[in-house]
Amino acid sequence: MLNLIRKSRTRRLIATAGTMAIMLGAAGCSGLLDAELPGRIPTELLNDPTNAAVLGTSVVADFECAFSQYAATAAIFSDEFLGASGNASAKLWGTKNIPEGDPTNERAACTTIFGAYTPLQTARFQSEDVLTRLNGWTNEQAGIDLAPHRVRTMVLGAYSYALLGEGFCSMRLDHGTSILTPAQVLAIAETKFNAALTAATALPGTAGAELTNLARVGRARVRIRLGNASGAAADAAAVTSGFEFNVTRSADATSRYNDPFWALTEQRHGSVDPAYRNLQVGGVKDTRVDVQFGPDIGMLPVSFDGVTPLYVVNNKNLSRAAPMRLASYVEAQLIRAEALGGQQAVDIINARRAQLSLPAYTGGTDEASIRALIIDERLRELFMEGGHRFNDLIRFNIQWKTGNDQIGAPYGSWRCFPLPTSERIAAGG
Amino acid sequence: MLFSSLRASCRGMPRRMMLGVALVALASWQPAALTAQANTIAGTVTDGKTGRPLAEALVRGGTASARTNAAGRFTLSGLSGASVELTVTRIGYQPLTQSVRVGAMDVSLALTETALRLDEVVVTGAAAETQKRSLGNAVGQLDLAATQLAAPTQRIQEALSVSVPGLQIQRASGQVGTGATTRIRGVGSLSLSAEPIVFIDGVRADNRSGSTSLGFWGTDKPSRINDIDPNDIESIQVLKGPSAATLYGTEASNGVIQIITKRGAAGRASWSVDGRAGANWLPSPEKVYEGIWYRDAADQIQYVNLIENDIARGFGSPFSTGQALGGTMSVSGGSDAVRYFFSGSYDRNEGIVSYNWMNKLNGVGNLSYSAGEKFKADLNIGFTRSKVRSASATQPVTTYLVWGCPSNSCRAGSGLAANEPGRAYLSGVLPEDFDPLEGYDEVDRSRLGLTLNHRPFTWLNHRLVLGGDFTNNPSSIYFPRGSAKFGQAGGIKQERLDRSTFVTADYSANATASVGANLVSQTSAGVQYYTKRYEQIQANGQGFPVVGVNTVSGGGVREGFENPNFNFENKTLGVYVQEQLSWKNRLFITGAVRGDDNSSFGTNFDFVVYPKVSLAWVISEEPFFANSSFLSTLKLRGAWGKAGQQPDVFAAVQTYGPSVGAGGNPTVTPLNVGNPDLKPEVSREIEAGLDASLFSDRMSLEFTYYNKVTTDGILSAPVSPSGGFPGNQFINVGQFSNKGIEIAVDGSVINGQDFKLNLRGSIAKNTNKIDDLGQAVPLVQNAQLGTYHVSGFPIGGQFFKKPVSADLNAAGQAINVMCEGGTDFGNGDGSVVPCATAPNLYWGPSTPTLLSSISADVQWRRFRLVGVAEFQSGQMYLDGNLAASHTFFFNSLAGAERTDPILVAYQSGALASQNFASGMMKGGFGKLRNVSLTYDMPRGVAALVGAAGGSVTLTGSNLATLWRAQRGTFGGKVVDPEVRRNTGDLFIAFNQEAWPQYTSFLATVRLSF
Repeated sequence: MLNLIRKSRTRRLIATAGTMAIMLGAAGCSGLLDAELPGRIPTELLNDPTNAAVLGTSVVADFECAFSQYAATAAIFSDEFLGASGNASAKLWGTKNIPEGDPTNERAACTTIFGAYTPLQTARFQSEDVLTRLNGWTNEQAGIDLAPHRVRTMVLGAYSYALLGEGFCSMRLDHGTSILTPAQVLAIAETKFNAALTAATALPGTAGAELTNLARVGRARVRIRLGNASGAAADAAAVTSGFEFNVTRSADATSRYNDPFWALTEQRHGSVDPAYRNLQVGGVKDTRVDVQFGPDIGMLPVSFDGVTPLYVVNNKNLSRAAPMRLASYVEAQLIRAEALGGQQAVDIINARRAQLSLPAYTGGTDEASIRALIIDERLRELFMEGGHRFNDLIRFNIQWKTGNDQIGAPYGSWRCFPLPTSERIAAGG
Repeated sequence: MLFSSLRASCRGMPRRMMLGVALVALASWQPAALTAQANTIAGTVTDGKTGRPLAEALVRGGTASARTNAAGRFTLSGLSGASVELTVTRIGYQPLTQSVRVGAMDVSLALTETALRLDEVVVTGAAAETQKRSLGNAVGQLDLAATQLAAPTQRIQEALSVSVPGLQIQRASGQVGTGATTRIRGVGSLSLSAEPIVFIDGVRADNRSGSTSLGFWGTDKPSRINDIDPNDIESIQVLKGPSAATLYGTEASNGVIQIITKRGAAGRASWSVDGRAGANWLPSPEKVYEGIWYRDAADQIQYVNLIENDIARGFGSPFSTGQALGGTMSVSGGSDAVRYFFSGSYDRNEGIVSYNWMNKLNGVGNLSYSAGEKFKADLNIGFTRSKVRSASATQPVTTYLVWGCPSNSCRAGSGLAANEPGRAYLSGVLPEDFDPLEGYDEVDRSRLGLTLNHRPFTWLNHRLVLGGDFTNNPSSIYFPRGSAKFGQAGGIKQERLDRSTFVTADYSANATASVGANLVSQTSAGVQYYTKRYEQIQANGQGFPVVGVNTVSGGGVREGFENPNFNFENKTLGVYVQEQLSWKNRLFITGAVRGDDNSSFGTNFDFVVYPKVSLAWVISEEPFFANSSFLSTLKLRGAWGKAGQQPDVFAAVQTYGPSVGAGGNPTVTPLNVGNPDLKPEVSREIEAGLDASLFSDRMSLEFTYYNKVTTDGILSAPVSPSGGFPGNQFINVGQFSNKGIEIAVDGSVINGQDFKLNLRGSIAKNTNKIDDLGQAVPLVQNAQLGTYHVSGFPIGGQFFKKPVSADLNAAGQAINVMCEGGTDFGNGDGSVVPCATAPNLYWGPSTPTLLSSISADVQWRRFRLVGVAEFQSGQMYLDGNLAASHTFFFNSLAGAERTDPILVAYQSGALASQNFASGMMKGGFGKLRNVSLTYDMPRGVAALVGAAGGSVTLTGSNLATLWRAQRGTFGGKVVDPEVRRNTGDLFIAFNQEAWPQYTSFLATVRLSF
């Protein structure tokens, strides 16, 4: 009896094993190898016109990330902040020694402290790619008015080119075989702004007005860098008084942090340079750059390197969620003043100073004096705002820091962000 | 039936067990009387080297015979005369003949291993039991159950270290709870995992070498293979490459590690109890971390040793001595029909800082059921629960120690004077600041395997293996509110849950047929289906209202997300057929072919086929081969085969990832550029060699030559961000190769009655090279670390400019900085050119080219002393600690002096962009891994606690660094030349901030009942 049971069990086991093997073999052709990709969106899904709004918003998100990264990196790289980090990459950005192959230069993301190359390239690509998709759809297909998305995509795309041209020593686009100069990239940016401006002016309503102003300030910024003073002045003059366009930030996700605050103030990778700590105009405190010693506002006394006294900015970029100014009427006026020069420049500057209850400028109106005035006004007005000082150091050929920094670390020779090694090698040079 | 057998075999055990373990009522207990019985002989058969009882040994005396049980015990009855010649035989051991008095009831018979075990059964992937003699390729074997008796360890990777020629364990950290990478025959892949795949009792297991645990900063990560308790393992077999692992198909190109857990043997219940205790410490830490230099206010160079300074000022050393405590209890036995093995163990291991520890609970239950010769079922169940507190919840204290006093910041007023508060650590972060930080890694892992073997006919057997390996791996970090020094003034809690699921279904059949008198045909076929799935979810909370809040929900800002890089699944379906012809059981020819499809192959690619062929010839059994005392056994072997490896499933598909936009609105962002043409990388390998036993079977020699060529190598090429997509793209590139030799010699130098000396040595040479990258320009692996893939050079070769000379000008700046010239990303030509325009030249490989080990095993009466030393050489080592000290923190002597022109060029001159090269050196080293002393208790001593046997082992690990190829760079000393980052998938020559290997001492008491 036991033997019979055992044999019966054995047969059942054999039958089960055989059946399973057959099932396995048969199922091989019917989905056994289908695998899930949770959290990933195949590109094909984006071809659905009903995704138009999400895509348009995505362009904004990627640009906002890139701009925030760029602003933080430019602030530590220019003379606005002392590099005061115990983190190697952060310190190397601060001393202008950042190697081309440093991971933060090669492949920074929205969640890293410094480095803007990859985020800017992603933002640039997104704008181009999404614009192509949006242009292929009708409002009916998308179920929304596509025009505002198209224009916003164009303007922010142009800004991505502008920052790539302003900040980087050289550039490679779309896996090209040639390395572009900053001027070449900025020329592309101007072309992009031309198209964006045309589209923006045709866009009705407040959105059209806002994007038109944004494009004008952006093109003026590019033109003044390229030496087209009259063109810049014309764009700047057309900007509506009081205009201001902010990039949004949020404390809800690391990728959405205000990076200048997070990296420089909260993480203490930098300390405001002594040159900015007690700015005055004619003996009157200049409130445009409000710098405080850390303990005076409840922070630690030293920066992340454990040595450098911590000085932080107390009137902008005050939190992870603080919005960041991308373009403004104030910036446009400074561009206009620079382009016009002479007494016209002084008038523009003094109008602004009057607004701030600061003494008027009474110095000379010769070219050198006005140049110095413009540089000085810009470093105050646009402090810690998206790489303006960095741009000025380059275009005005201002003396960069040399020798050793506040703790004896030598300053390096970079005067612009290096092109990552992988791009240089991939381009064959 | 099953349960009654179980009960019968356990009967009477618990009472004796309790007596033995708890030492209860010792005085009233009487050892079992060893009463002489007429016409009977009883005794124990043991391994002469380890003293371990040997089951299944055949003992013959007169007309009687018996097989030993799991405890090595036998009884022969019906004997006559005053004495009998007993003959003992067992596979793998030399026969023993000994005259024994009839009536003796406690005979001890110690067998000596044969030097070469050709009849040993090895696991090959086919259903049939395969003897080693029939294999055309080398198989690494580790008798872990025996090794644990002589040199116990708590980590499998430690046990594997130096045990198999060509297998390298690359340690990543000295902190408790972290692991290492495993490499077999060099770097097997450009970018994919170079880890061998792991099977436990035939079921695929999670083998990630670098877990995704949140609790460990940087690359000091746990390795999942170490979850398994070595005490539960009977043996480990290693198939080294494609020629051996063809039947495992896709994923097997880096080799296969087969872990076989312990099984019960027929006989009464045999209990074993181990208790262990010990200590872990860093010897002379003030010498390991040699101190730092800085310039004082008078510009004079000063020296401070931070550890000595701390001790002198009453703060104590940042390091402490951790304790190790643990125990294992197991029982095995059963009847002919049902056998069992149950084991449970608990260990607590503490690291070299007070906040680093690991608690681990392991259990195994193995049941075997046999219905005669026709049917056998094995049920294997295992679980692991562990919790590790990491020493690196953030950058560890070693970071702040090696880079103290950056850039002269220790000038007067910095705190070095006795009455000043500072202690010169980088950023003012002190050792005690780490106490409140928490980084945890927990594992809840279950393994389940069912193996059914059926032999319906004598010529046919088939096998079904079903099983899974399921791991829940929660990890977390917590910085309390007020952790401003670590950039977390408001505090932060992050919780991550990683889950991995591996499922195996493996059916194989094997038919054997005799073709004539001397030729046997063995045909095998099978189908395998493997799935693996990874899931990860994370929640962060930061900005706690008050000190003490430590939950995610207690944070003012909370976020949750699932990283798509760690949420995916992969499936493989494969079939194989194999034919083996054996002639007179000494000449074997094997041919096989396997086909695989995988869910991650590109849409433009469908199916891959892996063939193999091998030849094995035990030539010493040929009549023409005269037996000699010099060459006892000789087997010649050769094999050729293919295996492959596929990337993870998302690699082929271009994807976007969800992101967050303004106002929390959902957005998408480019994530993975994808490659629809992606194919598996396929390795083909040819190996040839011999196995021999020499000097009357007292010495074994294993020699193997191999040449593994990998085509369509999958490379995770950095995607140029200029294309818009970030990250990397998996692409198939040209061809690379690994070739080398492996030699192992194992010999019984002295084999006396009371004194035995066994020596073992191994050497493995590996050279890898990218034969054809498929493109003219080098591929950047890590530009900062100088790691590139270049045709004609090793995988991940090290390339930097090579400085030759420089001068200092009056201002102390480096001028006339000259480098060697040559072709960019090539070898130098001896010319000298300005470094500014100099080419990047080859410095050396990133992985060792030579692995060697030597071990000695000395036995004197009841004492056994085992010592193992390991050497690795040929590789470069990039020490980020030194590079940063020299060129960034300026706190090395040379860094502070700034008088070496070349170093100054690295600091701020023409070589500044390659400052990491200032930490590049030759990376060879030799270490005394283990010294173990075991005392085997006399039965009388063991009987005092009711035990049948016992031993005491004292083990010291990582006792000394015997040799360094290079001490350091620019006068600075490297902390530990062995430790390298565990990046999981990549070969790497780099280390920075990681914990050095600690020294440990462990005392183990083992009793058997």
